[in-house]
Amino acid sequence: MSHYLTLAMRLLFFAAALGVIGAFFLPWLKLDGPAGAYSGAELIALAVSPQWQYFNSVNSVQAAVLVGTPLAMLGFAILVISKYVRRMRTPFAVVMMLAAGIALIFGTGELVDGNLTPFAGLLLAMVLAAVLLLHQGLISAQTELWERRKFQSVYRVLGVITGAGVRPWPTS
Amino acid sequence: MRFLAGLLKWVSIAAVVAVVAGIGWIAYGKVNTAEAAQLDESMSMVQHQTAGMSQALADTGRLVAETNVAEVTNINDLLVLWQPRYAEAQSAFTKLDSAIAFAEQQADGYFIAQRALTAQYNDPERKALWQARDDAFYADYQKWQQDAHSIRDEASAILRKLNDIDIDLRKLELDSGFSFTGATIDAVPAEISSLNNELNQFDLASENIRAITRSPFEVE
Repeated sequence: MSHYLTLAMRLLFFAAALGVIGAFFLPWLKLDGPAGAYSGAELIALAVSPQWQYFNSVNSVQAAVLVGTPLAMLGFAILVISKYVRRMRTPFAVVMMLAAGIALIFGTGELVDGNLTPFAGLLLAMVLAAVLLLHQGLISAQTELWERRKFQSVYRVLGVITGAGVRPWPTS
Repeated sequence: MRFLAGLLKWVSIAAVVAVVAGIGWIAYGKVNTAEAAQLDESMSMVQHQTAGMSQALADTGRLVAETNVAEVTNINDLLVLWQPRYAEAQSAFTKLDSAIAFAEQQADGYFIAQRALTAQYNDPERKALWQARDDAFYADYQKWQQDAHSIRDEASAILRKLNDIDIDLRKLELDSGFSFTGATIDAVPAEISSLNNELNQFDLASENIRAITRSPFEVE
């Protein structure tokens, strides 16, 4: 039974990592202009659009953040997914994904319409990134318990919750 | 387990390919938008930023109307009121200026493409007809450009005055620790108050210009 639960949890966290890139097609931010909200994919595509010149001349640093951070988030999300397939962790990539999202929310002031109002897509990407960070933190804790040979029952529970499974507990 | 790992691998490859293709498709659409649509969008941006400039200056004007500036005697109190409004006005002007420059560049592309197509007609009658139509479009655009420059110049003049007031305030702030300086705060509120008329005039001009500076390509 716990084997199936472990498998389900593993698939759930894999789906969460996929969800981050799925969120790129939902609205992320409303830019200061007549157009509606832009999705993460549209923000990346801004780099090759004629409007890029306008945003760049208003504030080149904020324009770089506007285009660069969703691109970085996508890169980190792909890295996390590829590692999850091979049952490996990438705490650095998850932290950087969250940092890029925060930079996007707080670093584009002049180019964004009104106050800080991230839309569903960006919120979803950030929440999923936070969930993945928690997931990788729990796996680290589980690994630490195994290495220190402490709290075997907690170690087993974490193995199920994280979907990472368990290694044989050394008897010596 | 090996089957699952293989399945996840292919699912992840498919998802990544889908998202990269999606972004590529959106980028392709943006690059290949018709010149007229790009120009119309850039002119809408100018209208949007004109409204933003007007709002920023109205907020500065409200500083005078809603708070009794003449009664403010502490430089820090005045700075707290002043600085966000001044920063907003500066930012709005940068956006307006950039939007106009962007629209002008889009217009250059549009008219070059339009005239190049017209020049390819073989039938002289049809060519003359389209040349006349192109010229009429260009005349509409020139009127729009003139109005846009006029509103930008007006905004720039007001911003220069706001800039001088800002320097006055910062000098007062710098001198506030010295009791022997002759600088007083009295002159600055009067200066801000005197701006009110100009801001009102700008607001009226902006309303007027936004009404007439419609894109020549906008559907009536």
